[in-house]
Amino acid sequence: MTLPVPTTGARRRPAPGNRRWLLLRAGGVVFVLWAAATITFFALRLVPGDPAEAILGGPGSQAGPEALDQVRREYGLDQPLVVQYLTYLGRLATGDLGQSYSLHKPVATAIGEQFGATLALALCSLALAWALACALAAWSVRGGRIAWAIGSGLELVAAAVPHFWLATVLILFFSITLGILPPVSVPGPLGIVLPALTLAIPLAGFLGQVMRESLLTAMESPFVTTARARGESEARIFWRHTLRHAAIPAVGLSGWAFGSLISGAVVVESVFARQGLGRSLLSAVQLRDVTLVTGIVLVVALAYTVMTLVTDLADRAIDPRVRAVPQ
Amino acid sequence: MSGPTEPVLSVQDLVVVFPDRRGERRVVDGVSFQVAAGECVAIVGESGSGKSVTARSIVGLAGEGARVTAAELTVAGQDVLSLSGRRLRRLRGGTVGLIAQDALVSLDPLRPVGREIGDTLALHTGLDAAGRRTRTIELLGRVGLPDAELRAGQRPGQLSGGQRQRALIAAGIAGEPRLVVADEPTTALDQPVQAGVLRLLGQLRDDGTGVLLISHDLSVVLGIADRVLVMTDGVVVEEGTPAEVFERPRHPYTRKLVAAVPAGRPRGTPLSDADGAPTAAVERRSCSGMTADKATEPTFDVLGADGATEPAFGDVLIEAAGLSRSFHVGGREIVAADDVSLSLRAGRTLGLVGESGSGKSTTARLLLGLERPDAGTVTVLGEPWIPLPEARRRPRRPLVGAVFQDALSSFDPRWTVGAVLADALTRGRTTRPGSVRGEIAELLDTVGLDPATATRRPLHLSGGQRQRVSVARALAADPRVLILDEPVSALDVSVQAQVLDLLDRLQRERNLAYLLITHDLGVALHMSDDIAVLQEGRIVASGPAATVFDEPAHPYVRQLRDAAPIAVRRAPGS
Repeated sequence: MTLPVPTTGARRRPAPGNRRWLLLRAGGVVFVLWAAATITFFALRLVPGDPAEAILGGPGSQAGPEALDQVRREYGLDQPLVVQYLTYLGRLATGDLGQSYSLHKPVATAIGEQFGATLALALCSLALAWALACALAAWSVRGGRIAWAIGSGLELVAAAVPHFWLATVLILFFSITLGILPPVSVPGPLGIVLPALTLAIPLAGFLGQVMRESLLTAMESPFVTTARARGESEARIFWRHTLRHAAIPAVGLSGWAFGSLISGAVVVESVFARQGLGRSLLSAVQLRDVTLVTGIVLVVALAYTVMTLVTDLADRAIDPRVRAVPQ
Repeated sequence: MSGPTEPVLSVQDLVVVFPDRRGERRVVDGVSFQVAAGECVAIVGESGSGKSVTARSIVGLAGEGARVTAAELTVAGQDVLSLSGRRLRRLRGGTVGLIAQDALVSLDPLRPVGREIGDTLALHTGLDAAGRRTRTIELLGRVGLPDAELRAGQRPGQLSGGQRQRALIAAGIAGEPRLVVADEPTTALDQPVQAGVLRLLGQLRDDGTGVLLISHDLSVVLGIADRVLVMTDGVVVEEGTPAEVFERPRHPYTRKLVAAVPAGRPRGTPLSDADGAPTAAVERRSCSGMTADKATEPTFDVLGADGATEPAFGDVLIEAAGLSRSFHVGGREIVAADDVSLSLRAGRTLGLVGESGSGKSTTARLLLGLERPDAGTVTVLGEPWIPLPEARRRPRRPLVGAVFQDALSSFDPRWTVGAVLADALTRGRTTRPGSVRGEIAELLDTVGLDPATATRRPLHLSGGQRQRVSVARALAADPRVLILDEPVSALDVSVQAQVLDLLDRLQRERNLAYLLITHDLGVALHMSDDIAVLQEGRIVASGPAATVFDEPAHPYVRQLRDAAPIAVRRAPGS
């Protein structure tokens, strides 16, 4: 049984006013950043090995005890862990990400040099994944039962392939066999194609699978019959009605997908020898460059939460029911 | 206005075949009829009769995989079956406007209704964006939607059921079609709203549009149709004016359908040939001649003596006084029950009628103790029931049973019917039918179901069978009172008739007190001894069923009566 509500707004969750909603979300962003900073800080302290030694060039550096003591004092490593943690948080709050041991420059500068490349890669991959998923959906809706089966099979395979394998296959095909695209990332738009494709294909499979179920529901909805009965063509029905319904859950997941793209970038940037945050993160972890790792994790967390916010805004644009406020 | 002249729609020997796992299914089997300009033809039938498929075939939308053949299928001189692609799309919405059932799902929930109307205009008129906008507002005004400008910008979910349906009609007539096909346009609407929508279709007809009206409810089409076709199993079995069909039905199926309409049938008259319980047939026939004279029925003790004295016919079993409940929704207060007082008596039925949102279901939940009232008390068999801590109410819960509208969603889909009933019989101790197999078979027999039903799952039962199972479940705990919340609203007329007959028989056999909640005045009048009318949570009229609508003092009650289908208004005795 239902409550007697006079305005029958179908709302999926209670929607506070727009400003309150944004404030709440901003608070969420701060919380996520704090949590990311804290987890990284303690996780890296748990890894065996002496951070002072790492600063001096790793276990192979044969640093003497005096040098180690000096480094410990300099970096505050002789302080109790809690004090180190609080000092670290205080510095982060003022925007100071610290100095990278391995690169011998400020972490903020190091990240600034790499961030653009990774962001471009992630956004290109996301756009490409959406284009692929929509194209495949459009084709399998039109092509009847067989196309539908082929489409969902392709999605399953695409969602399951590992990045490094896919990257190798793409290089073999496009660079070695056809010779039309460079096997390693070169500056310019051509260099981004294969890395973006590597990241986009599994994501497209995933988005497509999410869309497929709601596409089916939307296609069988009575409003589609209504649209047909007023003389709309199948193409217009797909782009105007069914795709919009189908996109709702996939849009909601795009924020998450963006996060997975950045972690995918670690592999892809290494395979294609492409500069970017992913490759920096990999080498920073290998070199136990704690400040650089922390800085990258924080920037990735920030990008991820901002992207989630953007997808939520997109969700509200596509599905006005979300923002419905009782009059 | 312009009388029936040249046919807008001509159908000769229409056959629609769907592929099936076992070959094929003939859903429409040789249907022929014509609709002239300015004429309203109604097709009446129950679910599965093929009426909707017939309607959709006219615009080439019979359904996926359908094979449509006809000796003739022409709309305004065009052969529909030979059309394809763009010409067919120009026919849809341009020459034929289809108005579908339930506007909430028939309009895209993500888009403002004005856009949907604008789309039709864009497809079938040469208007520019500004012209379309003006025309959209005009159309919404024409279908009787106040504040058309505001409504055009709202989504279906923001409109009430009646407003939505009007918007859908506006979209259907935007291309100025010569034929309007309305498929169950009033189902799921309250009766006053329903009457408004039917008046609107009548206006279209008077303006010279041909109207094909599809409905499962014979009483709905009476006031508007010029001709009625009765369809069952894909065949038209009877055709005539509404008066001919309703008053002198020739075909047995039509007779069954007419007999199943509860409106205007006195209390106690069986509506169906059989409700499936052979043991009850004799008993029911013996009292089919009586009307409301149930005081003469013997109140025998079918429940077994458990020490307590059985209530006698007419004893007050539930007494509610001053029940009030309001909800806060989005900063607004909604009064769902306002000082509601009523009493339920053994062997008698109190009908509670009112529109959706009037607080009927809240009242039911308050009586069942599922909702805490802000104020008021309820006693059951003279002892306190509300307010009372749930722990003290629980042991006495078996006294009050409930049956809800949507039987399917009130069952655990993983349970078999046997498990559902075992759970109810053992008060939740077990869902294994083994220990109570005898009682389950007995219950199923009581509600007219084969004992083998126990092994089946609710999903695989028909709507009528499901509702019988939920009646059986309500009876399992041996109640004295049943709260029936729209128990037949989701059922076809003939199935509704069977369930109503079953409820009537059970009441007489077991001396049960009923609270019957319904939005259908016909059902209420047929089943109830007394009727209370609820508006905005308040009882605005109450009294014996025979007289409460005779000279209603309250304007809302008058409005409700006047909006009821004609069959109700010409009930014998009024």
